[in-house]
Amino acid sequence: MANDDTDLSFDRATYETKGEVAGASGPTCPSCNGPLGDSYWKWQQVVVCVNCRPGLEVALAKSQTAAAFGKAAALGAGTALGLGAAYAIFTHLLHSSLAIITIGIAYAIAKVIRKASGGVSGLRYQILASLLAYVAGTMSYLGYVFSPSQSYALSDIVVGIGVMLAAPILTITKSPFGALIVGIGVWQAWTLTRPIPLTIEGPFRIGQPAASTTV
Amino acid sequence: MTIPRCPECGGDIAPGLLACPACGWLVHGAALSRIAAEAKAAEAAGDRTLALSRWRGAVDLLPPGTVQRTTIDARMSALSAVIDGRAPKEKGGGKKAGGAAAGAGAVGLAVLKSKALITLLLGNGKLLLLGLLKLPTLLSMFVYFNFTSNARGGAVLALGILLSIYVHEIGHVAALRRYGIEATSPMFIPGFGAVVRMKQYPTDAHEEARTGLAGPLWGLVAASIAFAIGKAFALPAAISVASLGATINMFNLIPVWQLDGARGLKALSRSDRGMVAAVALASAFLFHQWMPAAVGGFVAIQVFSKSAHPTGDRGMFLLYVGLLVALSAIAMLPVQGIPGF
Repeated sequence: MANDDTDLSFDRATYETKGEVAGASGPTCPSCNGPLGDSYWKWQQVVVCVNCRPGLEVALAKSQTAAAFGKAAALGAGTALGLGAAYAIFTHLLHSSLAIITIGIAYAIAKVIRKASGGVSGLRYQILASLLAYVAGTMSYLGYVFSPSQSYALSDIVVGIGVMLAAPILTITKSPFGALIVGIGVWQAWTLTRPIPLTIEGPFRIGQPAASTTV
Repeated sequence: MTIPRCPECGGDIAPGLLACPACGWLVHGAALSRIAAEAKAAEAAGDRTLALSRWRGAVDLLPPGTVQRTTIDARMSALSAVIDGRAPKEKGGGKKAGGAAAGAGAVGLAVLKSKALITLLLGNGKLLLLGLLKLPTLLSMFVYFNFTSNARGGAVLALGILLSIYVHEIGHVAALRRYGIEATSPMFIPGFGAVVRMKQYPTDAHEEARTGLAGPLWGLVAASIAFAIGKAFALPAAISVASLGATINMFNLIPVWQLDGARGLKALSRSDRGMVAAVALASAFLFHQWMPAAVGGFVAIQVFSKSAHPTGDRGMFLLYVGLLVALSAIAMLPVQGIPGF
């Protein structure tokens, strides 16, 4: 068939695991390796048979439950507060901030939330990731709002947190950098948690392959 | 919506699939045959970069796990190794200059190498200028300059940093082009730096490391030139730009997230990583810099990572170490002669 390693045929896909042309033993489901039968369904690039479809539907539905969202919220909040606090200490000690750290924190939050959603995400997860990225980004202003050597009443703490959250907007005319970098972090979190469509397309009809050849 | 039918077996091919699930008929078979022919023609003509670019286009049209895709991946790795000198040039496909050099003797070889160097410098110079002709790059540079010059240091520092970052990014673009990888022109983000987005991905860890470390390498050259100008014309501002440029490029060597150091580290074995960490920590001590210590710390964490390359890459190991030492030395230079410092 081939004279050199790139003298390939592009008529049909040939799979290494089977060592034969696709469909030689009848079309099989990539998920269960059973026969595809008369029809198949498709989600993204995944082809499934009629038996595997219910399992896929359950897995996708699971990602949209309150429990899954709660898990993503808890893990995302933990990541945001932990990394945000570390960054606040960094900016307080060195009296400087690094934009790339803000963006890196937003990236980490988005990754954690996406993973907790089973990789599927959704609009709720996007909003959650963006809000947490904003909160984490504003934590670099903590050192300017609170002093470690002072004690604060609860009401002062609440007001202070409010000032911290509004800081990028309040300081936009004096320091537009701050608002811009927090904005980039929020945008990064939003795009990284972009939802994958949940619709399983089908059924599609299976054709009758011709007699196969073995490679 | 009309569902495409397979011309071989008559079954439905769901939109987005690359092959018929029933008989394996490749949806893009005709295009793949054409691309393969173009790639082979490019290889025969000695243009490995074009061949690599064509094969990259083919990979996206093939289902994962196919023999065709695996074979093309292997071919791309082989071409990549020839392009960056990790493998000898193959018979019959090399440029004529290679054959001429074999017979020209030492003097002839030196002449050819200097011609190659001049060609390289002219080519890279052209790339630096061409980047400035891209409107999005130019506009983002203007915005970046305006934002940065309002900060401490003023217009001189802003321009110096801008040019330093620009040269760094063009280094990435040059390396990506060498491997036939499509990428956007640099986009500057005030307060952050600049980014070049790849439209395709490197074939393997060796390519990834070379395209990743190309930025700091070009940045080192830019810092060196700024230092030379500063010394030659007694310009403290140029020395300061050299120092800050070296610091920025050193920062990029920290192997975390998507920084260049993380990409460079992918090609290094466990022992390579251990030695890089040691050199980084030694540089921090010798040159009184905290940045190399940060690089060393993060590299040390990844010595035992599963991502360590099984065989390593001597060229990238030497480059990583060289960059650490050279950038640390230049970053030691004083930042002065600029308002506010």
